[in-house]
Amino acid sequence: MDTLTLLLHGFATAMTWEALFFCFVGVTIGMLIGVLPGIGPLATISMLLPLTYYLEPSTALIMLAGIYYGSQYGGSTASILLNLPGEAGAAVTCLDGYPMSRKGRAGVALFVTTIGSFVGGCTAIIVMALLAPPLGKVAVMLGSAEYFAVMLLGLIAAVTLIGKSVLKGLVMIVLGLLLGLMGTDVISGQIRFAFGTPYLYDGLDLALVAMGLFGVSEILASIGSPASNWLSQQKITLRSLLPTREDVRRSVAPTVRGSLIGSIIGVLPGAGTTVAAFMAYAAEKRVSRYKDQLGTGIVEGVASPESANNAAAQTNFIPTLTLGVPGGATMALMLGALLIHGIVPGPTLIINHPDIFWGLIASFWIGNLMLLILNLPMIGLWVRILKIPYSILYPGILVFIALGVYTLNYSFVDVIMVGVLGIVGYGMNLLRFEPAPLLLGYILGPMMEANLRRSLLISGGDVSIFWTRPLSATLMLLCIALILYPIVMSLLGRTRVQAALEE
Amino acid sequence: MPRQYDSVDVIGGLITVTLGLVASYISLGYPMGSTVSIGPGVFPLILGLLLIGLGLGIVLGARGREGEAPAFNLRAVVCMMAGMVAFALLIGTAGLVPAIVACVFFSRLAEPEFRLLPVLVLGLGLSLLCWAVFAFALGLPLRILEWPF
Repeated sequence: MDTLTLLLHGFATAMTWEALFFCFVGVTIGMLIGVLPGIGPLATISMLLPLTYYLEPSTALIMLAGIYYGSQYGGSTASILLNLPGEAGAAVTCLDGYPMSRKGRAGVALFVTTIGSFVGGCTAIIVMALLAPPLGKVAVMLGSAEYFAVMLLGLIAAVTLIGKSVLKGLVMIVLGLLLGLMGTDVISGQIRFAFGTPYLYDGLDLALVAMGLFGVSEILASIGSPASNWLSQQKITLRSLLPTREDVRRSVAPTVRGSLIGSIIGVLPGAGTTVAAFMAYAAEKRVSRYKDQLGTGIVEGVASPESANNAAAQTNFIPTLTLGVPGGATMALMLGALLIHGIVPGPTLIINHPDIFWGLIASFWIGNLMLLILNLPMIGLWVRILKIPYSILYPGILVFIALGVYTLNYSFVDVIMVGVLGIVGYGMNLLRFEPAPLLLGYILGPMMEANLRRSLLISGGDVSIFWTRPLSATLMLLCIALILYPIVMSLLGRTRVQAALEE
Repeated sequence: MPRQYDSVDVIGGLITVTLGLVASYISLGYPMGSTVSIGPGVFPLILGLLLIGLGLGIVLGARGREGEAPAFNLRAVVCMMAGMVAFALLIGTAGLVPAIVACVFFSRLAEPEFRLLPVLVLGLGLSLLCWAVFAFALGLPLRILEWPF
């Protein structure tokens, strides 16, 4: 079957009433939490993970994906109006979005980002449909040594590309890997790190870890932060959304550039939407005709990063689904959701479950269209939602987490455990450890160990299998390069992302 | 002049080293197997040793600069935990509504402004929402209100 036929089949999956409904639920929730500062897609997807146990796997993935890219749309709204990025990928949008808002051009900025996000999303769909199947074919040829190397690369890339402390990121990953090993070892039957308590014999549930470390800890970090009364008193009317002909002309090229950059960055394992947005902005700094005015509030500065982060949000699924190597913590959760349903992501996914893969791609397009409709005519509603006080919001989030955890196993110990994990996550944040990479390690831990054992079994105990096979050797070299790169850059003074911003 | 160091990173690094020591020690108790068929102790042992190394690296990297001690919001932590424990104890015995109201009540105490009536309204509203999503839409067997005595 050719790609087009498969894509049409995908639309058949995504166009069922159930899929449409959950796609709509996903993008609406995503939009909502993207707009609200203080709660991100990671926390939301962890909160909704238990609900997906009751859905079809393809529907579950469509909904979770909707939350993810929906939050990219919504994130720009808070960035532009409040100078507060609703989620990390939108931080770059603040640079030109907020100045535009102060000039009274918030409406135009919102319009340009919405269209940019839509174009970015559409570009990513094409890239996915063209790139994923051949990549899947290549992936079938990978042996366990290569898998181990790819996972290692994904983990290292996830901490080095962000540009924060690499050491601390690595600590979080190793902790996550250890946490993933907790419970009964499938190969030997040995129970590990259970501290003699039967409660831990099956390990810690993914939903528990995710909700505790991201949901509860985010609440703890946000309680008592200065009162939220920063909304600019600007009226956003439908009329103010309309860009001038000049705006439209000037945002075409940056939107296209951003979409392409985002699509490419998203494919790399370990590089998320934040990196994509930064790279796209840095590119505008180089090539735009108006590069001197960037940062003062021009349309180019919002069009390009917004198209990029939305494109990357979707092409992120390529390494996740074809290799089984998630690009970031959010993708790790998607992988977890599939594993819960007994579906192992990897090269065989496209062949064995075409409905999931192509259904997801088709749902991207439908979801993007829904977001376009949700955004433009209803922008006033989203602006009003920004005014919901946190003191109403957080008890609700907490109740939702508690109930979600309880319904997993009807165990009250789980509820208390999630609270404890929340305190642990809060502590990590206070000590300036970013817990997101931990989740990546947690998901990949058992898989990495299994591939390590298998590789050694095949090679007869010879560790050199990792660098005598050409592909594995290349991947290992890339890992080393990624670790050395930030060290060299920090010796040179500053990281690339910072350099791009300071220019 | 006293030597400068970033106390936050020193603490973080030392905790990392401790966790690494604990993990390595526990791993040593598991079978190591042979090089061909490695046992369940090998991978965690490697990870434990890595943690020790990384932790030491963080401690060493903390020299030569000053660090601000983070503000720990004890009130938020205590109120959140009280809310979760109350929820855990009530959900199986008294049912959904009391558990949610109690959870909202305790967690809401974390913020300085507290008025009973809006908190009760919020608790009951959330109960309705949760009932609609979990009990009605998903059909989960949740007891709404139960008299434990």
